[in-house]
Amino acid sequence: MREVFVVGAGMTQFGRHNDKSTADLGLEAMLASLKDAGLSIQDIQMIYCGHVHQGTTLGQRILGQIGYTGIPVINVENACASGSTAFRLAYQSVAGGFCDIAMAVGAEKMPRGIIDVGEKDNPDRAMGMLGLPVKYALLARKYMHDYGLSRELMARVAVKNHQNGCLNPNAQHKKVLTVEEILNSRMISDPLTLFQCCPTSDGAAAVIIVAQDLLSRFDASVALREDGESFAHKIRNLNHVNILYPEIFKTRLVLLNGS
Amino acid sequence: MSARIIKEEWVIEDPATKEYRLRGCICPGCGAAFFPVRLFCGKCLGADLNVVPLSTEGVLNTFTTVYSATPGYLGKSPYVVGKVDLPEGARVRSLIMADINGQNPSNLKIGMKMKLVFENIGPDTEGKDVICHMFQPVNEGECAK
Repeated sequence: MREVFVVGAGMTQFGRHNDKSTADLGLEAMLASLKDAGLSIQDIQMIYCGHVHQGTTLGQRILGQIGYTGIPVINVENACASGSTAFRLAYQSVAGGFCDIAMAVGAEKMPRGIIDVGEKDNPDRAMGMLGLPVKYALLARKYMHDYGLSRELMARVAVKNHQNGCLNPNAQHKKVLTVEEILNSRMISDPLTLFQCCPTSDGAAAVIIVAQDLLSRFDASVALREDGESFAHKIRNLNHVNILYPEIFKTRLVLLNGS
Repeated sequence: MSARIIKEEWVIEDPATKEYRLRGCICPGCGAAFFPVRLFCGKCLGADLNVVPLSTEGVLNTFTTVYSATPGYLGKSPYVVGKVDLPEGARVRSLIMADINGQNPSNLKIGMKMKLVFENIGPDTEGKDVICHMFQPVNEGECAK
């Protein structure tokens, strides 16, 4: 495995973009990452495009706006982990020596309100059980029960996440919230309140990953390494979700010292 | 008004009592139980699972009161969803019958005994009432409708 570095990153404002298509947003992030790295699109050898509900060939549609480039594109759908999966595939393609410069891009436009998941004829829909807040509220309450977690302590996860949002000028919400404000926000699916649920967003982000041999061409870089094993459903026994393990995908791409 | 079962494949008539039960399956190889019926055992991957009527009583594993109804829900909000562990080992995600009155149902507790009922959850898009399995506390005083 080769040493791998991130040399460029770009993202759009997250929030509502009624005047832009998903492909517009993806291109905006892509061009921002190229500018950040000081590269042209023709330098990119491989593109992985993560999204969930944007139809077929989103990556090709993004590139189609700037003329067909001949760069191979693979679209990645892996639910909530689509973006990080695209990132990991880009990492692997460079680390494995299949190419020297790869890009991961992710873009999404989401409808408002509870995400509509599952097939129209799935009887779980009629029973009101398909919503993601329902699914995770069931797991959260079980976790609180089994491990003695209080509502206040769990709310501090959201406090931390909202604080992190304040550090990013492109974040959808940039407001420090207290435990009280989080717990007093509208209840969505008990114990999860509005500010404990992900907002639905429109936005896109892109990163460019290169092999170590090329580093002298770049002003700034961050080393990247995959840490530990990757898995999902590692301990999913019978039809029971194990609340201590991720459902979709787990890997750790660690950003090391920047230069 | 006509009515229908939410999904015919989910229910089976108890030969003894002639009442509806949940239609599950048990793996003849390892004994694992599932609802609904599936083709392969999720534990040992065995095939040819035995279709059985599942027990009508179980234990509440977890629950949530849903205030923002998920798209397609036929009933009124708020409503309660939970998971019930049956003695066979199957864990059934289900609506829970609880008197909530806009409040969190404080009388529901993880670990409490629950029993199976069938209730009308509301008319579907064609105007047919939809009969659906639900669980409610065995001790009716703990959580009357």
